[in-house]
Amino acid sequence: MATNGEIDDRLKQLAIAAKNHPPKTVERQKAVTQLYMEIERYKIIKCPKNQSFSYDDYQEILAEAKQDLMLRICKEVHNYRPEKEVSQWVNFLMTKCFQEATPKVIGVKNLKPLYYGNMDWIGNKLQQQGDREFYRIEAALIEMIQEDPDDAFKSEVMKKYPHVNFQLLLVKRVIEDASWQQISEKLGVSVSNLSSFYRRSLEKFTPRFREYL
Amino acid sequence: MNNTEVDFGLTIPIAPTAHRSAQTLSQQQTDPKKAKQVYLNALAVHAVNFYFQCLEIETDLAASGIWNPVVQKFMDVADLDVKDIGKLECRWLGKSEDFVSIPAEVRSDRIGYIAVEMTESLQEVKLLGFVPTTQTEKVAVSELKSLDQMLEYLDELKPVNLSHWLQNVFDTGWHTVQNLFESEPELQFAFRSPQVLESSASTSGNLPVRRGKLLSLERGKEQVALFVELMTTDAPDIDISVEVYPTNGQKNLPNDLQLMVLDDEGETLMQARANKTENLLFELSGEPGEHFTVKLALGDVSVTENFLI
Repeated sequence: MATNGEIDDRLKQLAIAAKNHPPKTVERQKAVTQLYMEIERYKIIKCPKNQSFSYDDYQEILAEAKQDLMLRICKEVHNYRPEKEVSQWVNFLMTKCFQEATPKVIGVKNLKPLYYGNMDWIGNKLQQQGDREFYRIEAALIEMIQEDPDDAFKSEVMKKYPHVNFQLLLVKRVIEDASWQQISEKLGVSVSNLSSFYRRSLEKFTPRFREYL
Repeated sequence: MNNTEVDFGLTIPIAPTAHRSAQTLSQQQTDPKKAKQVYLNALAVHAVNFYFQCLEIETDLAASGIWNPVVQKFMDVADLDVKDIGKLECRWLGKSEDFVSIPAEVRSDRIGYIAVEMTESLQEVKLLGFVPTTQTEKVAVSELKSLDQMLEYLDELKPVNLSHWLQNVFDTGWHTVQNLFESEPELQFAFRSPQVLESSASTSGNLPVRRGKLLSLERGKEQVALFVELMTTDAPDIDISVEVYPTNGQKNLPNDLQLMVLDDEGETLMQARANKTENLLFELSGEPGEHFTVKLALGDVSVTENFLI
C-alpha cells in the first residue's frame, strides 16, 4: 500500500511528464491516459457534499461534473503547476466543474428521466413496452420482405455479383435466421462484401423500414 | 491479465446526455432485446468518442451506425469514425465477462475493436483494451492489447498529409533527398536520373516537392527508400509519383518485392513486381481530400504508408 506522500509524488511525476509533451502527440495521449488511470486508481477525486439537491439531481450533477473533470484534466494538464499536489489541482477543478454542471441539471425542465441504476432494470423497463405490439410488427415486416412491393429490394443488386440482391439477403437473415458464414458459403461471396452491401442497402431503404421498427 | 484487477482498464464517466441519447435510440426499437443492445451500443460509442475528445483525436460521431434505427434493427454495429484513419468498432461486454463478441458483420471495414465493459450503475464504463483485427466471433479479455498500444497503432495509421507538403510542412520521417543521402551515403549510387537531385531543394513555384523515407522490410533486414513527389497542376488535381529505390549499397531491388497502390477501400489500383530492377515508379493523380495507400510487400512481410492528398 502506497503512502499518501508516495501517491502525491507518483501523480506529480505523471502530470509533469504529460504537460511536457505537446498536445495531439501520441506521447501526450499516452501520458494523460496513464495520469487519469492513476487518479482513478488512488481515488483522489473528492465529490462536493450534497447540500440541497435531491438524490437523483445530485447524482446527475456529479456524473456531468466528473465527465467535465476528465476532459479538463486531459486537455488542460499544461496548466498544472508542480508546486501544488495533483490532488489539489484536480479537486480545485472538481469544485469548478460541479458548480458549472449544476445549472445544466437544475432548472432545465422537461428532461426525460434517466434509467440510471442497473442493466436489468433497463431491460425490464424496455420489456414493458409490450410484447404483443412487437409480434404484430414483426409479422408485418416479414410479409413486407416476402412481398417486396415494386420489387424494390430485388432490384438492389451487388455490382460484382449480380446473383445477390438485397431481398435475398433479407430473407436469409431476417426470416431464415441464417448466419453470415452460411450465406457466404452458399452464395460464394465473402462475408465482408455481403455485410457492407447489406448495410448500404439498409441505409438506402431506411424510410421504407421506419414503420416496421 | 485478470478482469477483476482494480487497476486494469480506463474508467470513463458517462454524462446524463449520453444516457438520454441512448435512451431515445433504444425507444425506437419494439424488440426489447434489440432495445437493450441499441442502448449499450450507443453508450459504448459515446464513451469511446468522449475518450478521443479528451485526447484531441478527431472523430465523426454523426457517421456512426448507432443513429440509424434500421441499421441497428437488422445489424449489430457500434462503429466510430476516427478522422482520416477509419472506423473503430466499440464492443460492449457485461461486467466481469471474459470475452467480447465480434459479430461477423463488423469484421471488415474496421481498423480495430475496442472493448467497453459496462458497470452495474452505468454511471461509468471501462475501456479494457483493443485488438486491431480478429477472425473469430469472440476475443478473450486476456488477449486484448493495451490502450497505449492502440494509441500507437492509431498514430501509425494517420495518413501523411500531402497538402501540407505543398506548404512546406513535413511529417516526421520524411526527409529531403539530400538529408537521406547524408544518413545513407550508399543511396546515392542508386540514383541514375539527375533530376532526382535537382528537384529536392525547392518547394516554391511549380517545382515539384520530393521527400523520401527509409522503410525496413523485416526479412534479412532489407531496407528500401520510398520517395513521393508532388507536382501541382492548373486543375485541382495534383500529380504524384511514387518511387522505390534500393539502399544499403544494393544496385537492384529485391527480386520478389511488390509495390502496390490501394484506394481508400483497400482495392488495388496499381501493382508491380521488382524483378531485380533498379527502381519502381508509379504515377498517379488525385484531388485534395482523396486517400491512397502505398503497400510494399516482400514475402509475407509488408509495410504500408497511408496518404491524404
